[in-house]
Amino acid sequence: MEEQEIIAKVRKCVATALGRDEDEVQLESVLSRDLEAESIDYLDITFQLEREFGISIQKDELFPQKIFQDETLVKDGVVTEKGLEYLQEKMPYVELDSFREDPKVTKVPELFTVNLLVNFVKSKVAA
Amino acid sequence: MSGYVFVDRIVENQPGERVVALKALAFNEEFFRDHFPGMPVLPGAMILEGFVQAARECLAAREGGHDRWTLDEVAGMRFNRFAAPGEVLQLEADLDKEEDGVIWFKGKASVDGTGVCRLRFALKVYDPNERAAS
Amino acid sequence: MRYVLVDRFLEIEAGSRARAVKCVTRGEEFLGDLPHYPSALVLESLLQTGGALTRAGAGPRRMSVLGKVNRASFAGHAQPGDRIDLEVSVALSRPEGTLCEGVATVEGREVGRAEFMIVLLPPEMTPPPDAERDAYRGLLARALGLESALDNGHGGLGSGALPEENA
Repeated sequence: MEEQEIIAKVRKCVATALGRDEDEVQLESVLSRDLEAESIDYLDITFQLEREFGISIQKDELFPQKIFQDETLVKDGVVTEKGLEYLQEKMPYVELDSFREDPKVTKVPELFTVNLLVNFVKSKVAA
Repeated sequence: MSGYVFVDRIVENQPGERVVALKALAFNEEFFRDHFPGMPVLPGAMILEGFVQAARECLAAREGGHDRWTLDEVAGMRFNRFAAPGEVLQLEADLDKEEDGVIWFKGKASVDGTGVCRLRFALKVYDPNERAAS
Repeated sequence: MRYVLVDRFLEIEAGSRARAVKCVTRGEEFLGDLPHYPSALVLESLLQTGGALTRAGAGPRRMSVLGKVNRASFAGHAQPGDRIDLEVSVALSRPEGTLCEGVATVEGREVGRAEFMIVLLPPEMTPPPDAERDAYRGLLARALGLESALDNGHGGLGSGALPEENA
């Protein structure tokens, strides 16, 4: 599948899940901050992507929820070294350098952009 | 049309534009016994029915308007938190567009300013002979 | 009005698909002088079928809540004396919940359809087995002088309508 087709379909999935027009859904859009995605939306987006691309997404594979739940990955609101390893392992296609400079757990949702979804789908479809 | 009345009070009605209604939630209401036993919370489908009834009032108040509207479609009904006995639910419906006899509203339900539910829904004229398109 | 809006399951493949029915009768309070059965309640019957189906696939006494109604549409109405046939299937399933699709018909005539998400509450929130819960409810009812109002002990959806309650 060509990249342009993947991008178009991912934007459609996100727009459907969030009840928005497709032109509101840009590659740089941060799901939580720009598109007001809530926890149910992350589940919906997962379903929409599975259905659209015929892929199977394991628990925590796309949105690594454990970072918000596991005490060894976060200390005093800051993601630990173990937590950073966990994030990098779960999201190998994400560049974490700028996040590492200020690794607050509250800023993790800012990593979840439409572009991240595109890269995720690309890695799944290529596999 | 009446039957089960979900709306207690209309606090604002701009005919054909916007309506704000209230529904007070009482522990005594029978449906709470089943939803859920030991944890009474307002069912989403009842919030939807509340929106339908409130929007009906908004359209009935229009010049030459009527109240024979029924639910046509729902899109993206999402929940933020539960509403529970002891709270007063506020339903706000704003008319979004009107096309071919189908009227879309944007709805927002809240308790004390905190969002409970958001959705878009459409009403159409009640037709006792209506059949689904095959 | 009570809120158990599925009368009986005809067929259930846990976590996969189910057929159930809901009878529409003047005996139910909400009809009053309505010329038709409210479509929002047709939706609820589909949601309850999907919820039961999802819980049955997840394990004993797991709890669920409605996550989202993605879309729903209605055409025509059910009338007193009708039996609504409900068919719901799980389109996608995850540990967190399911995406369900359901259709409601009356004598083959579609009256409603919906796509919705059922969210499973985490396993830690599963309540204790029936015996303890019933004993606790009995104790509470006696303390409040409500023994006569205590139902037959079946909470949730239906008395014996659900396969897991028959098990």
